[in-house]
Amino acid sequence: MTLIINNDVVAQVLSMEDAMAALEQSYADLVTCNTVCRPRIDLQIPTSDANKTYQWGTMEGGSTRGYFAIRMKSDVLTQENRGGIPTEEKYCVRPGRWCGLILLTTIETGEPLAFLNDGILQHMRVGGDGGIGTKYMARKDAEVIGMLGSGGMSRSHMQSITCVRDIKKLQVWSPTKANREAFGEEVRATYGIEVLVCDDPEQVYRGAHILAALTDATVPVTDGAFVEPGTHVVVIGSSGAPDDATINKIDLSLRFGNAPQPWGLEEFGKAQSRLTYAAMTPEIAEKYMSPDAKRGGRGAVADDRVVWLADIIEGRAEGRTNDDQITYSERGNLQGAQFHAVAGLAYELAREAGLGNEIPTEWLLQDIRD
Amino acid sequence: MTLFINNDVVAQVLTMEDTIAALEESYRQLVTKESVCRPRVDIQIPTSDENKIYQWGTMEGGSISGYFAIRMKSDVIFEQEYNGAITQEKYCKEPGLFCGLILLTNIENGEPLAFINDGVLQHMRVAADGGIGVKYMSREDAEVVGMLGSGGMSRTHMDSFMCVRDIKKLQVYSPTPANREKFAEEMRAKHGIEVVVHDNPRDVYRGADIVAALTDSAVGVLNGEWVEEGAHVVSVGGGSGKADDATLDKVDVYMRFGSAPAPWGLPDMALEDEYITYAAQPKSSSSFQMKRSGRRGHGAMLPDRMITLKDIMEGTNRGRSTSTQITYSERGNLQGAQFWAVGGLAYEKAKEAGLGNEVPTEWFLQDIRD
Repeated sequence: MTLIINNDVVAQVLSMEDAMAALEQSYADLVTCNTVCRPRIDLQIPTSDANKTYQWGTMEGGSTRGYFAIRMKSDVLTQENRGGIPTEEKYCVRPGRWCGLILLTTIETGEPLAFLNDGILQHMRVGGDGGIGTKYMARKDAEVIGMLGSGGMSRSHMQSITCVRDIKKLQVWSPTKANREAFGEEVRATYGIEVLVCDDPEQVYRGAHILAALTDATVPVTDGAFVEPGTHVVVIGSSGAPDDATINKIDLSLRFGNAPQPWGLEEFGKAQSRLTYAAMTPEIAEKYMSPDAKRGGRGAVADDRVVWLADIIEGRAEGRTNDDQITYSERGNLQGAQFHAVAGLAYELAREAGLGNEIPTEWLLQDIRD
Repeated sequence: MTLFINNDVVAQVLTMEDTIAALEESYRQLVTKESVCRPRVDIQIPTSDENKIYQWGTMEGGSISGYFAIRMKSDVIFEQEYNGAITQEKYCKEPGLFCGLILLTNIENGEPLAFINDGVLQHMRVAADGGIGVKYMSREDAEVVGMLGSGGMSRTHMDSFMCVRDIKKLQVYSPTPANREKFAEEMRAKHGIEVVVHDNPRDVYRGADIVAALTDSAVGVLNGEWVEEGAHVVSVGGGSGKADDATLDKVDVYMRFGSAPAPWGLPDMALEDEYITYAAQPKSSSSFQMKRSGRRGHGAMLPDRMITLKDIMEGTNRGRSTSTQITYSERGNLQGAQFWAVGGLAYEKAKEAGLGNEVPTEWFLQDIRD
């Protein structure tokens, strides 16, 4: 039988510590070529509603340890404006529903093992990366988090960052007052730490050892003018990069790695975070495609100051060398290396616990070869 | 509900004529940018058996007319010698079973509509391409087919050739006498044409207006020395689907349906390659001959003698201009443009007929956004 594993099951079986360990292992295996992945690829197609674009996106990778996974996203996108900040909104079938699916296979026989909803996994793998970056680059005595954003990614980053540092205080801002206050209350209750809910984003930066910008804005939301010495910076979201002023201040930028080069194609061995193929004329793309998709994703942040995770793990390079450095961390275009590791683990744990819905594997197999 | 559609259902609802029409429409839309596709991407990972490699492969595309589809293949591949020729073998889960799945979505709302086994569809889409090539490039009065191979692809190619030309005679050779005899009997009964079975490949070429090499041999089976004036050549499978050099030397006009577009903003990444391969432990497949480790997939074969469907559609170039020309056709790396078109059609017909297994669509959706 092939398992269909929903978010409740993933939340029940997978811990942030385990997810982070699985991710670190996968990144280490990339260095030895035991893991392989390719950059994210999106396809965009205009719908019959001029303001909506269909976007399909995939990430793929697997490991000689046993699993392969593809993550597939199928959503309708709209570009909207929330409180003066351009954001990308999305849904599948109806607003409030999304389609993000992982198909997990075993590399030993090719058998499709499970479909997993990716909601929890997605937050844990992104949060996990923030934690791994913090582990290697933040000050050892980091205890204050400054956070922009109060959604699901803020929750998973609280989980991962508290795994790797002894956090005493959170300073948080997000555009909607009710949201940031509810989040602040939740963090107080969950972690028993001091929480300052800020009415002004500038307050977030003061005395923060870790600055985490966790929003779905399509433009940079950080403001480098306020970033203080000693801060470690993490940014996620559609833009996925800090503003130029922050980038200028970065002393050391940790990049987990780049996807390997495909056979014989050097031009594909770049650091691009995504490739977008679109059923669009340039005029339509100009109007409806996000800036990030239009420029073909982006490469490494502060690429002249990059330190690679492989070099740190193998002792060839150091991360932060003093308490005043401003550091940054990002995964690089290794998304495809995440899902086989984390979904493989969730699958094993769900199976052990007897959880998930089953469909006959025979439905996915056939006796006709191509 | 999301439908699971198996090969029996596809065989029941889909005709070759409809497949050819759906594909021609998809290729037309690619020219007008109403549809999009990207090149095939493969991931290879060695298994614990050093002679076997896991290969995952995907093809993607969709259209503003309503559907998107990804085709996914998950198989263990290995090579073996058969009657002196090296063939690529594959299976999923156990020998005799294969995994090729199409996931079809609705671009208007992102909904996952169906999973379709690709066995029948795969044979029909490849053969329909052969038929489209014959339609535009072979002599109008072509009536003799010379065929190398007597498997599934041979059956579907006969269907497609019959759709576009008034075929009167088939000359066939394949290595195993029982197989070619059985195939001949079937073709006589199905198409009511004369069928001559040859015990050597040479005789297949004599007087053939269409030469079709349809095998899964790792080395090319065509022999250009024997290709006669006026013949149109189709090659599938053998030696990566390429015709041999002697045939290519003789070709007067080469029709390539087209090439996948470049990813947005990255014109350097426009590719004509049949596939892109990312591999873990890339040296582990160095003994494989069918798909050579480290090598790119083949691109446009004869750029100096090439025309495309776009040229024919726009009336800027004709296909064949004399009855003595030797012509050759192949799709190009547009595989991704096929599955939404043919899969969408099969889905509509299966739904109308009330066929297929149902799974709740809610299983594939979630209330957590990324």
